Amino acid sequence: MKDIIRDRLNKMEDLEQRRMLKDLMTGVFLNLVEYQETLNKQIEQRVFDEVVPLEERHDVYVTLCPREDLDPIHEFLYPILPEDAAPQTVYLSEASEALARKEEMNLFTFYMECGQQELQSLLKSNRTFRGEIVTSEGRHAITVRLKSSTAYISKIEELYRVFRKNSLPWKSINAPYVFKFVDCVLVGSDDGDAWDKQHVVKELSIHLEEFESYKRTNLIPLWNIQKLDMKTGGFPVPASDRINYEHVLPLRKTGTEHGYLVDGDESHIRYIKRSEEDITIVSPLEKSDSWTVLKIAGPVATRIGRMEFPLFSNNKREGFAGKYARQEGRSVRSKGEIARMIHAFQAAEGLELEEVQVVAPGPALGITYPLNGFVSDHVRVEADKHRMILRFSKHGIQPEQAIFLDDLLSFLVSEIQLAFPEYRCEGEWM
Amino acid sequence: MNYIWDLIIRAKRNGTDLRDVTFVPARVYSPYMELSHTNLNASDVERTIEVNPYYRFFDIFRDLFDINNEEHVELREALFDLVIHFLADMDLMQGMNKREYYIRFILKDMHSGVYGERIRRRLELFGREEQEVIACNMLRLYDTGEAVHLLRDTLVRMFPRSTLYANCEEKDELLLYIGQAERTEAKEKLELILELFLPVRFDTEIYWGHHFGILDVDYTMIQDGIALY
Repeated sequence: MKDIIRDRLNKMEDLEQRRMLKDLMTGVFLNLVEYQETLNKQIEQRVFDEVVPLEERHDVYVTLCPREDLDPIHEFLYPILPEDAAPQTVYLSEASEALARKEEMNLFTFYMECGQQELQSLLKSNRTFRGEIVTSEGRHAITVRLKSSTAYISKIEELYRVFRKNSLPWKSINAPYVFKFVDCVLVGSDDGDAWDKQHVVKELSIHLEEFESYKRTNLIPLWNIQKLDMKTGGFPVPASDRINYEHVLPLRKTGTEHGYLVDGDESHIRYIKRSEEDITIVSPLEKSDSWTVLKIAGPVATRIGRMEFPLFSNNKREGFAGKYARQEGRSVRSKGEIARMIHAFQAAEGLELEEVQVVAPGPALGITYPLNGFVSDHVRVEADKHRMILRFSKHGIQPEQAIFLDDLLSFLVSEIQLAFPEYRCEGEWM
Repeated sequence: MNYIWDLIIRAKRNGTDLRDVTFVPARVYSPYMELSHTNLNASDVERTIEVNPYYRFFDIFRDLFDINNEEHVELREALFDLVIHFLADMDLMQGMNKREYYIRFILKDMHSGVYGERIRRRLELFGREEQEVIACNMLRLYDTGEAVHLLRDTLVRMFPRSTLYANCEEKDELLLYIGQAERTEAKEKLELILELFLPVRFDTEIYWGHHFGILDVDYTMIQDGIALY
């Protein structure tokens, strides 16, 4: 419209009249046109907003950092295991007792910087490696074995249970790092009986032979979840034939822009109400000492902090189609819909779903592993399900992402698995 | 064409720059029509359009072209032109409703790669109308979940001679007869439709130019023109 106005003004020959029209246009008409355009955009936005967006405050971000660089006042990242903040210690007395009882003892946990397939074949091979314990008294040779660590995975499972308590739909956590942590298990020693239990372990080292270059000790995984304790009392509210106690947790102090989950005994939580300013736990209990609340902090672009390892998240941009599909609640089982679900994830950048194939039940051959083993369908027998094979291509992948590709694929396939419980989903590369 | 918006939409489809369309008040006009074409059944968009401003907008224009007013003719004509353009813009919003917006949103999603790069690329092969058909049917798919029906509906609209046969007795199989020669573009179009609408558990067999033979259906039983199933 503005172009037309400019064009017409330039075409006018009588300058006096051109000036008059120009005054008229700039005085009223342009404003009118702009107003009209704004209103049209507003209508469009209103129609768009009518379809309810997904709760975005519960996206989980994961990264890794060296223990000595851990920032206790980081804007949004906290250790997955709070005890990781302190260096791991090994007690010689415990180790020798375990040895004497012929039990396997976890000495320490570390990160393996390699692809999932390589790691799995190493773990399955059951190989043992040589190591050394140094005390103030002397050196002891030991034998160790590697085992995949479940410490962080079980934290994710714990989180799933909290999501369930809060009646929130579960989204797989895109945390490739946690599947690359291994436990170093003590299986034997040359002179175990001779250990002097009084001594402290000063140093512990193991040598992984050809895998040595992958070994990265002293790294800890971080996520944007912080445990808080909030104190509040219940306020009695009659509800027809019963009395509920509303425990109001104000969020102003900890930030209303973050997501919050309430953890606690399920029988103490009738349901949870959310509003912009606070969370209300409706409980049959009048008194409670405090509520454990998980704060899922929103990501902040930090200017000072530098991340050495890429940040992964299960963040989604839904688009209109995603919101509409969720609202209608019909399940659409086309390949295009699967592609939409996958490409909604930020994590899918650089990957493209090429092919979906449904084949008869059989043993899984895909390279992906399930992220949500703890989520069970309970209805169908796993072995009877048809296999859905999702084939992906990759383009424009950064070299530092390479070792995470299989993990990203597993994440995407796990999300499809949640939507298609009647199939057993597997991922493959083209 | 009778209304200004008729003309604007046509001009937009032809790719005419709206700056080149000038509206002037008609000297001679029918009281029953808004546009006064020289040719009543004109289908091209002319450069200068004579408009009967009193057909719908009597209240707005009744004093602008008073027959006794001879001053500032150029100004009034330019103003008239601009106001009509503005009114036409508003006109275009008349039929907008939620569904229309939804169709546009879905297309926007597809064009921005929400369904992946391949669908974004292949959607460009379709004309405007065809894209809208796809978006409409996508919405219906989310509404009803009737995948096979909507697959057939979309196919028939894109490939008018096509037929869809379902073989659901012992396996989930769909036989598609397209009824036209196999070309790269048609193939890519078909793949987009299948990707959006076909449930993943179905297998498909595609027959392009030649139909497989069906007993007693003569046009499928022409010698040298039978495909094998």
